[in-house]
Amino acid sequence: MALSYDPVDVLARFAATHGIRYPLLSDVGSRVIEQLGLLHEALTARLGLYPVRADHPRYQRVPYPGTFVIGDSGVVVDKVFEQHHLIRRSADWFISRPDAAGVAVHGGSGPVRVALSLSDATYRPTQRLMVRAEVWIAPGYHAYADPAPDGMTPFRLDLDAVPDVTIDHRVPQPQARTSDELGRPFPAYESGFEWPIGVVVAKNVGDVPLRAHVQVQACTASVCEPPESIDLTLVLHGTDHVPPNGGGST
Amino acid sequence: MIDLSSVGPRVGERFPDVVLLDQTGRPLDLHAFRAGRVALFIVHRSADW
Repeated sequence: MALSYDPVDVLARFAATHGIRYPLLSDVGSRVIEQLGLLHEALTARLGLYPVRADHPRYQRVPYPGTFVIGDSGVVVDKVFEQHHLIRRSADWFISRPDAAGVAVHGGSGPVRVALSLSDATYRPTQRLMVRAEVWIAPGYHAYADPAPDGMTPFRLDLDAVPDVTIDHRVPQPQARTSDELGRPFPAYESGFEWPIGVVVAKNVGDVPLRAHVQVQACTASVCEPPESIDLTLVLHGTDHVPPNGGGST
Repeated sequence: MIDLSSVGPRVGERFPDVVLLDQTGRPLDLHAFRAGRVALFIVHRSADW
């Protein structure tokens, strides 16, 4: 369900336009929003930066945009809020199946395998989606994190920059520490881990190719494999009913 | 930067009772509607933005 400060008729029209069947709750005047501690007082000052009529009702008593996950007992089990009022996460982010969009690609031929998947098959501008890299490391092996011993390749995962797309890596903490031949400790990954990457497309730009590059060197306690490069590509599609900006003429 | 962890009910707290009109004009009690199920509660700016 969702909560805003719109009157019932605005929400009814919005639900009908977008085929929304879950409850949209009307909190005209933001009374409940304020009681919940969700009033975004800083936004009023920020709106001065935009060419809008700040006294319009839609800009009054605006809540922080975000999502609560309420568990079966009624307790808040998770909450996600963003710093910018335009950014919000997709529902599939919360449903949180790695291949919720049914799209995944795999790579790697040695002791390290990587699967790359999307939380959503399509994007809407300013919606935060998740690219999830699942990394599997064969038993007995580890992959150095950064910093690695001299001459060793640390695990790296990069996405190529794309215009109008913000990429935000959540680098996972190494699970272990291992030592080089001199006994010096270095951080390392073992077994498996996830590397989530937040992606926000600022405006409708059509299909967005997401090209990931993984650098890894898998080692046992006594020997290291040659460094391996794994390249994976996923395509994030624009929604069908919104044509790409700048295409065609009017 | 806003301390977003302090915005609204905290993780581990019971979400407060909320009863408001939905888009059909009928009152909806949040916890009664959940009926013991997990729910996403999305807070957003005006649908007429």
